[in-house]
Amino acid sequence: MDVDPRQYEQIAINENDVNNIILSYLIHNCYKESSESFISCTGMKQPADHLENMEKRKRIFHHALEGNVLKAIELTGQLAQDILENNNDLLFDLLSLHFVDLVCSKKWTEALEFAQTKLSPYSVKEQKYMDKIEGFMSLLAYENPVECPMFHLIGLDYRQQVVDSLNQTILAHFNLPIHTAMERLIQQTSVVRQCLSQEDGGPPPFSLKDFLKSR
Amino acid sequence: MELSAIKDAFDRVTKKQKLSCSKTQEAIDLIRQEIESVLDTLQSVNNTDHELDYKTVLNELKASLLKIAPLSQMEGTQKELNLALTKYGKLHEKHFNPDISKAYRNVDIDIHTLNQIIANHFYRQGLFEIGDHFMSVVGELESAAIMKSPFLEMYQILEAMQNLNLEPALNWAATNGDKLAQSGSDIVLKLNSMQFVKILQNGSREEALHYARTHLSPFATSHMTDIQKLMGCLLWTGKLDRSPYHALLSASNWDKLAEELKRQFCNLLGQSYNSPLSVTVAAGVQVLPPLLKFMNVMAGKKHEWQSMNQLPVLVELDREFQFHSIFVCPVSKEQATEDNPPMLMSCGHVLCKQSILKMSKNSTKMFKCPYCPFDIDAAQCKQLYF
Repeated sequence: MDVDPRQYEQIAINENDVNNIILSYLIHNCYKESSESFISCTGMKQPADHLENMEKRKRIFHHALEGNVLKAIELTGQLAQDILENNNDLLFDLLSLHFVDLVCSKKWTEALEFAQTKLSPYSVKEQKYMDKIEGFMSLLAYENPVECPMFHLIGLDYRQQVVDSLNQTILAHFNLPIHTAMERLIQQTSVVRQCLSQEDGGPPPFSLKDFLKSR
Repeated sequence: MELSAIKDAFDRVTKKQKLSCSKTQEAIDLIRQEIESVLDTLQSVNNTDHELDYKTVLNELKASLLKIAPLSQMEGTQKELNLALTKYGKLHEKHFNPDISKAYRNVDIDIHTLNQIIANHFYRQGLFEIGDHFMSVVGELESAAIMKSPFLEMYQILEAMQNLNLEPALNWAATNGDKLAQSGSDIVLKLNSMQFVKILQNGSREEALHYARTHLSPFATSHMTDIQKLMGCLLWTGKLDRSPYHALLSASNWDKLAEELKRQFCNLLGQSYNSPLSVTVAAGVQVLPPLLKFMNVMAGKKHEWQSMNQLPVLVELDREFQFHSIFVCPVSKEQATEDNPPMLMSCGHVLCKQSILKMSKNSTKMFKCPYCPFDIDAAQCKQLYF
């Protein structure tokens, strides 16, 4: 295709491609009912095993976000034994989420016990775990952990980040893409628009916010 | 001072003395053997009917003793000993100057001030009985009580710390928390950290957690790394010696903490860390050799030395004895004084006031800076304070 990049309005988009992008997003984020409805409405062929794994991923995702991390770990183990066994970083992060939940519930003694039995063994493996453990332990120095300089560890952003990492790890285990097509598309669009904007007369850099607003 | 030469000479004397002693003993033993032999002979003859010529026997003894020649034997080692001893004496005189009174001059000093300095030394060394006795003898018991009281408190704190008891130190830190914070000291955190570690060592995790919340968390914003490590210690309650934090249990930590407390304690009192008397004596010991050498050179001009304000020879003191900067004028080569202070010129260079007055003809005209092409107005020079 020999088309001037600045004439992107002329590029034809295949309807099937659009449907695939949307389905990718729905499956990635465990929107089971939406996926099924979308498939039946568009007449796309049903991916056989995706929906079953999606149900399990959804439960794991839900438990982790809702503060039931140990259940999420258990379910992940049932899904496949070696997902977390081969990923110390992720398992440590999940266990630390549980520690945070105990601290926020003011179960100090239980939090100390848990840290001593589950987190402490990591400190003998690598120095980076020791540094992380110290950061989590400093939350205990406050009756109200929000006052601690390390309060971001009890925030939703950190939890979402860990849970996203878990989701990606499970997807990778089943040879599924760990990023949605939508996400990749937006990232690459941003890069392309950034390059074009550096040329004379080029369009301004891509902004998803501005893009959605202008439609 | 190099003492190895003196030690070598001393060892040489010792060696010669031992050799001479053994030689002498040997000679005496030989003489005694000969005499005892003759006595045996005389006694045995008395028991028989034979008549013996005593004169002959004694002559034989005399001949034997002459043959041994003990004097000539001992003479050699004795001579060597005397030689070594003489050398040692000369070396001694060379290195130890007994006449240090040459390096002094009369200074009118207030006896009361001198008594205060001496008593202060005793009290800050913890020698309270000696200090009390001294002040009693010089008749200043009232000021003794005032001077003694803070150091008594300090030594009670230090003694408790030697017994691994931090309560007095923590009480002192709490009482003086604001002043310590103003001086930028982190000793309060250090004391509380040490107490926290002690509680952990005793295996009480709940108590340690409570202590951390009460006493450590206020420091988290400014000392986050320290707090994180201390909280990490909670995972090793009762077995800190086998943890990554075992360095916190080192005995040297207590010594460092005690020294730091002593330093901060004296700082709050507005006093120096070291006793002024010990500093003076230590500096004096360092300065004495060059001063004695100077006195030998100036032997014939004693009256001049007595009235000098400043020594013409350079006397180097170690950095530990330098407390204030001293400015030396590059023009007059003299040290700045209160009457002749350093002045900052408009070009940024510094001269002493008298040099500026001289170069500006008593502030009546501009003069050129000795270091750069700038013309200087004496009225615009500002005094510097170090």
